[in-house]
Amino acid sequence: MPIHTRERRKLALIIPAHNEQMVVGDTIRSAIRAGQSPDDIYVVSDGSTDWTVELAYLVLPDGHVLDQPQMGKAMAMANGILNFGLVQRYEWIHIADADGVFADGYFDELRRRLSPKFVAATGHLQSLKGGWIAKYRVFEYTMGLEVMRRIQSLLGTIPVIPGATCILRTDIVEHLDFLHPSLTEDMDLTLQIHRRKLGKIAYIPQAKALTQDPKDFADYHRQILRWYRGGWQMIRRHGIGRRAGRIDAYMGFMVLEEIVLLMQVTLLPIYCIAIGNYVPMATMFLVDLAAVLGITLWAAWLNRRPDIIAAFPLYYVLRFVNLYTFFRAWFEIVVLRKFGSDAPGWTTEGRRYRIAPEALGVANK
Amino acid sequence: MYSHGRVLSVATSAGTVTAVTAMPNTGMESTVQIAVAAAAGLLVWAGIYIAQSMFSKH
Repeated sequence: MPIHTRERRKLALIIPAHNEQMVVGDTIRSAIRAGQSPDDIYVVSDGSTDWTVELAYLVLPDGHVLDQPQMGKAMAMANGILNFGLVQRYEWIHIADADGVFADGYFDELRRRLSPKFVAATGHLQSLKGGWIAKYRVFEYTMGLEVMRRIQSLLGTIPVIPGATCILRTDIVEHLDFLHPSLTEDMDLTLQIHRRKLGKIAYIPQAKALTQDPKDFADYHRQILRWYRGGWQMIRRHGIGRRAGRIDAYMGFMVLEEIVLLMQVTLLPIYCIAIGNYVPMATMFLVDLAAVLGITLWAAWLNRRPDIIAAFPLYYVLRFVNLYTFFRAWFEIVVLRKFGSDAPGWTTEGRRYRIAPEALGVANK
Repeated sequence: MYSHGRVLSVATSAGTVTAVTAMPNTGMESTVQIAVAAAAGLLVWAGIYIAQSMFSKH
C-alpha cells in the first residue's frame, strides 16, 4: 500500500540527460508551461560534456541538477531519485526523456488522475511534426495507443511504459532494479512491475506528451534496431513466454503478428507461384491496403494532421524495414546471444535537433 | 513491444481467407488486375511525394 504523509508533494519530474543542450531547456520550459512547478523538476546530467547542466540551471532552482560521471540512463534515474530524496518527498515520480514536449495541462491532468489504485502510469504519446518518418509515427502511435494501448490497459498487459511519459508510484521504487544494464530500460522497468506483481499500470490518455522522432532514415533504423534488440533482450531476461501469465500471452500475440506478416510477404508469394494462382496474394495485398489506408485516414482526422496522408505509400517501406529489423534483432539476441551486457552509453547522442516552433504548435491542440 | 503499426497481420490474414473463400471464380482475374493497378498507383504516388519533397528542399 502507498505511504501517505501530509508533507509529501504529489508529483516530481526527473529528466535524465546526456549531452542534451539542444533540447533540455525547451523540455523544462514545456513542463513548466504544462503545469509543473520548477520546484518539482529535477535534471540528472549523466557525464554531459556540453552545456546541458548550465542550461538546466538557467531555468531550475539551485540543487535541482545533479551532474554525475557517465553511468547510463537507468543509473542516472536511480541516482537522481536517491540524491534528490524523491521517494521520501513525493507520492509519484515522472521520468521523462530530455527531448519531450508536454501539451497544455499535462501535469494538471496527471495530478488529478493519479490514484493509489495503480502503481505506475503512462500518458498519451504523440509525434512532433516532422518529415516522412514523423508522419509514419503518427500512424503508428494512433494504432498503437488509441487502439492497442486501450486494449492493453483493459487487459492489464501494457508491455512498455514509454520513456517520454513514465510515472511511478514512489513506494514501488525500492522493488525495481535500476542496476541491470539494458538497451530499453523503460521496458525493463515495465516488465519488472508485471513479473514482481507490484500492481496495475494505468493509461491516462488525457495527459498528452510529444516526442521527437528520428530526422532521417539511418537514424530511424538505428532507433528501431535498439528497440527490437532491447525488446528481445527483455523477453529473454524476464522469461516471457515461459509462464502462463497475461503479459506472456499478450507479448506472444505481438510476436505472432510479426510471424504472420513475415509469412504474408514470403510464403504466400511462393505458394501462389507454385500453384499458378495469384488471387490469394492479390487479395491479401488489397485487404492490407484497405486496412492501412483506413487507419491512415483515421489517424489524420483524429490528430488533425492531413499532411500525413501524403506520405502514405512510404509507410509500406517502413513497415518492411521494421519487419526485417525485428527478425534481425531476434537472430542477434536469441540465436547468437549477443548484447548480453551493455556499456552505459546513450544512443540519443548526436540524434537531437532543435524543436521547431511550428512543431511545438501541435502540442497545444 | 515497440511495434505499434503492424498489429494487423492476423486480422488481414483472416480477412483474406474469408474473401478468397467467398469469391466467385469469375472475380479472380479482376482481383489480380485491381491489385496490380493499386500497386502501380502506390509507386507513382510515392514517386510524386519523393520528387516534391526533394523539390521543396531546394
